Amino acid sequence: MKKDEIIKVLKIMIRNKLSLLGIVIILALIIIALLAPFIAPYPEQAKGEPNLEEKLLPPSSKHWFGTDYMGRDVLSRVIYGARISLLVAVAVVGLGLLIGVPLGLLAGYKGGWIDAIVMRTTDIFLSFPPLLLALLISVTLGRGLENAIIALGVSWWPWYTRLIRGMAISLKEKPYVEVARSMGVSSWKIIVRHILPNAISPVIVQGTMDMGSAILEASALSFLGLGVQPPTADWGLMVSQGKDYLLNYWWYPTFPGLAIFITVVAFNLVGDTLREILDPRLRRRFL
Amino acid sequence: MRLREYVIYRILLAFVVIFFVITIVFFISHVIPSNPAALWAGAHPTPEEIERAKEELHLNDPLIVQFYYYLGGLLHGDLGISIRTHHPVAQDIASAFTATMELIIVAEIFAIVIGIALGVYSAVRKDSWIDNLARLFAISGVSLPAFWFGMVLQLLFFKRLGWLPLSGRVDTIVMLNHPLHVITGFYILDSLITGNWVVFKNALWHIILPALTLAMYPVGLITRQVRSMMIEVLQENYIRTARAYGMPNRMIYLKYALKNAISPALIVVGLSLAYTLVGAFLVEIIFNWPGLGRYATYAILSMDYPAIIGVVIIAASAYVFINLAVDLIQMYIDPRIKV
Amino acid sequence: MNVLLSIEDLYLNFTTFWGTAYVLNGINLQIYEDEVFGLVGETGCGKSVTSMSILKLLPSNAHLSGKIIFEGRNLLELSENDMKKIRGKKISMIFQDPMSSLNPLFKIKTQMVDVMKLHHNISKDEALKMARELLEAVKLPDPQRVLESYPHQLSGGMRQRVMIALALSFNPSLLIADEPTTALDVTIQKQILELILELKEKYHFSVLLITHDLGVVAETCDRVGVMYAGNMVEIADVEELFENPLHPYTQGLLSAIPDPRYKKPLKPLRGNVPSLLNPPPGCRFHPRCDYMKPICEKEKPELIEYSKNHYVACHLYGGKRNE
Repeated sequence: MKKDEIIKVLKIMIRNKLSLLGIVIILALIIIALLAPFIAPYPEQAKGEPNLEEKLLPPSSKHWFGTDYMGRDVLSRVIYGARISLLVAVAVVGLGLLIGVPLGLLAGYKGGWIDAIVMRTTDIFLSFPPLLLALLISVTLGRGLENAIIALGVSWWPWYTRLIRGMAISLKEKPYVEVARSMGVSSWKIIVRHILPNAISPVIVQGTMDMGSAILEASALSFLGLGVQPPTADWGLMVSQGKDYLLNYWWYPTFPGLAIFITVVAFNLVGDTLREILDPRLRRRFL
Repeated sequence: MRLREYVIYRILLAFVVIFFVITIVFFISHVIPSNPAALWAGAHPTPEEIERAKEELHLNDPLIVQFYYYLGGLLHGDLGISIRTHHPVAQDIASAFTATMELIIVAEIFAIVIGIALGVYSAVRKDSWIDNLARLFAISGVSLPAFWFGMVLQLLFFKRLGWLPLSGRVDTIVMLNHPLHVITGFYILDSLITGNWVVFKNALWHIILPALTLAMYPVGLITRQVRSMMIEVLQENYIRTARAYGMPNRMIYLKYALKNAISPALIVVGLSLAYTLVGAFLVEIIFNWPGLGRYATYAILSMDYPAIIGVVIIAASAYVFINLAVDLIQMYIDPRIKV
Repeated sequence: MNVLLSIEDLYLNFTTFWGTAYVLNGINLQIYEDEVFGLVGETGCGKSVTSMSILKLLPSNAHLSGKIIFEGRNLLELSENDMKKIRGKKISMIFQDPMSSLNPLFKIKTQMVDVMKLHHNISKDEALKMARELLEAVKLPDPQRVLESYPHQLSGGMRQRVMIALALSFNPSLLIADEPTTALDVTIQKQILELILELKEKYHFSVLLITHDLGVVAETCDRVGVMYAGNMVEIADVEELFENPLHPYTQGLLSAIPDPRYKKPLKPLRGNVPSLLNPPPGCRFHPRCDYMKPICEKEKPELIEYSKNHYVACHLYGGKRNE
């Protein structure tokens, strides 16, 4: 993508009310995550310190979102949870890209049996329900944040491989690549110099669009007890812990769940608009 | 690749995937440290009892031999015996499977009806506030954590309004007073066939909240797909022709455009069916629905590995074959899709 | 001759995400009763959009201003309901691509009967009978078989005949034919054009023929309008236009046709069609014009009657301010 095209896309994103909303929410989340220790009213409780005198209090001016079963301020824990969620989003997509992009480049550029093996492997991975795969990997590796990230990243990469392979195949026919090849430049160099820079932007766009789903799936793993372990503040885990208190202490699971929902909506709003702008079939709507 | 070769490839691939799944799941679950023999032998087992249990479960054989036994059983529909319930896993899964399927089917019906209506409406009123609202709704649908949304519905419809039951598939007391003659395993269908109205109403009331929760994701997908297909179809020349002849909008949208838009949209229905299969795992836990998901969760918690393997194999196979069917139907409907 | 349709100062722009596109920039033209008026120009010059404006079949992001007077009424002021009574009934349209203009998933029968029943208050059987008669009128052999077919089972020429039959179902006073033969084989092209002329003699309607093919214009039209980038640059009788083209753009178009009668070299137009998102100021043709004057960059030339019934919009021929 050229620079002026990026600017144009950004302009459209800002002019569209829904995607602007998404962008604002994401920016706010990043700020909240970065400044969590300064914003959170009770940072110590957010890190897990119990406060047993104030168990399960409803929302009040002292605790806007109420307190949990250990008396900890739910608001503070939700604020700290933003850190984990953003970390998960970036890490899962990053891991997926790290595995998927090199494989896709190799398969697309080299073709032949390498391509066949890589593509059949993606076929197999894509025919497997992603959450189930992540569930299995988590069960095997054990509970914990790192393992949940690995589990999701591993179920994620084939999408990127397919996308970038298609790009690589079309790019290797380009004259400048053929010139480079005819001059004896090594495959490795061609891939890094010519193919990767030209193929990477749609993949990055796709990755950005996937962050919402990454957060959603990670929260499902946390909910099942396979993600972050207590006492760390994590939204999915908080909903899971609050599940048993739902009927009498509604605030406990409600606010962390709302946080997941709003965050994922924000990412998907941005992603949906990006998709509409960049999808060639839908593109003519804007012309 | 020619079309027929591609179809054969896809079918073979489905079996390869399932075989991989079986292998991987089998070995993974045997690597996890646990003591199934102790579980199997019952409460407070003596060392002899544990030894006997190990013998019964072939636990003393090398892993590869155990795998061989397992595959052999699988060919006869035998998934082993659950360590937790002591029932054959196949039998446990069969009853859980129909419960899950009933939930999924009702959810899909919700999703299709709401999704098509919203999608058409929002395409027709493209860029209006209604369209924006429908888009926001569709995006919310795919962004909702199902496990949380289920709780919100419970709070609202059970706790606040008291309209619908909290959880379960049917009230036990109702089943005791009005025994249901099970034919298909789908309670709603069975009670309808046998005219058991009390159970019918009870089962229907129970399924609304979990089905609605599960439907949110496919509603989002279907709305989005129908909307963009309708927008595309409405730009087609034949729609312009219909307009140029003064055809009323209702006829254009509901007769001429919808038929063209609907088949690509149905693909998403198939796709979402696979998603709901997995989503059901979470929803079942919230609503205590006696399906595959709840069974799997208990199995994981108690390291009941024959049950874990069984559930994963069944769920993955269902997923693989639904995907396969969707792809093949899509090729059948739209011959332009080149392999 | 009576004026049937008169377009006055028609402006049209589209608001898009990429900016506003100024698609029609003050179009003026008259179509008389019982004539064939040709509208020519390159792809994207606004000729198809002009025809869609007449029927008000534009997407919602289009903004129209000006006047389109048809039978004494300004179409731009009519409600959508009143327009529905005009579409298909008084003004009919046939399109470039007969393949995509018929819905692929419905039989010809269904599509024709649905249209017939819209305006005539008749039963399904009567509608079918009418459809059959119309298919005979457009000289389709075996109408019954055509009725039972799906669009893809017919050839391009047959589909275009079906479209014409549909267009004729209400005895329209104006038939808009948007590139009716472009997608067809040369031999079929000629047949379809002849059919249109023949039917015109029989049913007495006017034809607005939109094409980029000057050969088609020469063979079928009485008068011609030449469009360039959303402007009407020249209107004249067919013979006059071919003999004595005034506008540099028209001259360029004509000299780009190989003509065995004159052994002059082909002189293609230089440059490209401008973007309508950001059109050149003044005369939109000036960046490509060999006779450009300073005024051309500043002021849009008006369409003036240079000689009798020969209109041109060019500063070379004395705009109002230039004299």
